[in-house]
Amino acid sequence: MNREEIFEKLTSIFRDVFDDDTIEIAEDTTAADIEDWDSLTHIMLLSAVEDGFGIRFDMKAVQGLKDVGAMADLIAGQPAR
Amino acid sequence: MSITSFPFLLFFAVTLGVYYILPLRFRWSALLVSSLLFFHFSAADYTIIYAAGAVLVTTLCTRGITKAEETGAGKKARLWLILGLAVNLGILATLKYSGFVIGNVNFAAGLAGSGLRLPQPDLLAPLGVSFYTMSVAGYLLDVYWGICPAQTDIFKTALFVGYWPQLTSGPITRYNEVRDQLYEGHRFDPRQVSFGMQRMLWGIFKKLVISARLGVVVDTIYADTVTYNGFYIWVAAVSFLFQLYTDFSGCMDIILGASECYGIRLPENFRTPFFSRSVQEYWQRWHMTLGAWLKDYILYPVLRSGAWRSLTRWTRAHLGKKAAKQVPSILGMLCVWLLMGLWHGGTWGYIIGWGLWFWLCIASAQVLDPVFKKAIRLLRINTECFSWHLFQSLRVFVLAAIGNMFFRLRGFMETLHVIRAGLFPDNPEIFFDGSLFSLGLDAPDFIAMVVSLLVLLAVSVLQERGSVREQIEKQNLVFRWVVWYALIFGILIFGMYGPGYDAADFIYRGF
Repeated sequence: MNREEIFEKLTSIFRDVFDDDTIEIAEDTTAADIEDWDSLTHIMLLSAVEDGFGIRFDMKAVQGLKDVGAMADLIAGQPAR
Repeated sequence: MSITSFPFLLFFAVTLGVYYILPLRFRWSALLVSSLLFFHFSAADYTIIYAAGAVLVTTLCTRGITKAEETGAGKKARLWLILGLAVNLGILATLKYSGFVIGNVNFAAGLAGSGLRLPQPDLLAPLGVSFYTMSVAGYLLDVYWGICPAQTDIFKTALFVGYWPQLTSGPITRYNEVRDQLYEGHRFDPRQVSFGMQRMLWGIFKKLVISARLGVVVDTIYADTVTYNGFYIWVAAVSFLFQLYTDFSGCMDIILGASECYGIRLPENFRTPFFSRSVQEYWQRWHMTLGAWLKDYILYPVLRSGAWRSLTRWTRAHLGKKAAKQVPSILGMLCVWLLMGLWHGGTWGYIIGWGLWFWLCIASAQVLDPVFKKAIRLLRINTECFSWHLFQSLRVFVLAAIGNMFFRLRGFMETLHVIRAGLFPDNPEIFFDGSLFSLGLDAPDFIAMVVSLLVLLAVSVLQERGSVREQIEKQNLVFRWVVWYALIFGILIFGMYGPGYDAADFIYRGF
């Protein structure tokens, strides 16, 4: 899966989790850019991403996530379950 | 040894002097010896065996985890983690909750008509056990998750567990945040030491001038709620919230200030919580290290567990997408809040009253959010103005004051009884006829309390703009000295200390 495809799929997951079809994400998108992105939604988002891509993040990776770009890096580097 | 007493100030001055006299590489050892002395002066000596046990087991288990992970033995690493958590949490549970469990067993046996009466244990918990156990459990999990390396030196682990400033009331520290700071040794920096002492002064002012006075009002009202009912109950509820805040955050100011003098910055526990606009935000600004701990080590793993994922899938299939987003997270938060209540004390008042109350506030805000948003739209309320923000903060304040009645009164039924006594207040005259001056404080003392609360408000407003000490530092010499001397003389003149007062202990020291 190339980066463009990862972002395409991530966008659809973000729109589903935040219930907002207008959300556009970029490499540097952070929680500060999306109104409802709090600590609770963050974990729901990660679970949705894990289910969507068939992967599992470890806790170290979860705590180190800085922006959507870092999330995409993590997805690209993960073997599918 | 109370951290607002003269012996403490002497202890602090001597240990600080020794710390900076020793060569850099030995400074962490000075902190370890100071911590042992602090323990000796503050608690029964034999209780150190529990803390020593925690240090030993944690060192062994983190070494075990690291070795097992290096050889790819994931199951073995898991076993070391479980052993470390079981021993540390087991010590905490035995010391703090065996009375609660036995009390409930005896109660259940009584209901069932059995004559079973288990004796209540008489165990003395070591200083700061609830705080350092949380730090240690987080450290074990961080090592297991690969977030931080294991400390192989048992004495350095002992310093992480028993660093004296955090033994009184926290904060709950993360190994990754403090490890370099604790062991590297710091050069003497006059500005840093002076900043630390300024913060300690502010903490002592909060504790001895504000909190101690509020405590008199609270104790007087709650001691006789038959006489003091109606609006008195709400005076006590509001006073207790301010008392708890000034007591706990004052303690943090003294502790974090003292630690700053050594050059070690511990994590903040408060960020002007009364300016919060929702209960959820309030808990992100009040006892922040406990909230963050519960979020990272309980809520996140629970929500990411297989059981919760199954629950989400089931809810989505049977109740729809919206419910699938809310039900699992609300149930996850319930676990966190019940644990939050349990951590604060083994009584149903804490667990159900206090924990459940704040969970109810947060969960209902989440569920009713669309209704509130619709009402705001229909009523054309401007949500981007001071008056609306003030209303939101006052709403949070009232909800927090009610929740903390369970904290103060501890008994669940007793608290409900007191709330009932204040439910339909019919005595507004108490605010005008001088009745408030009969609550243990005479008029000058009461006025001193109100004025110092106004000072607290002003400082809190300034804190929202950044470090108050830095703001004062930028002023001219005369102004700076007037401020600090006013604080010193404020404490000396208006502080409630010495014989006849019992204000020296901290509410959170009991945890």
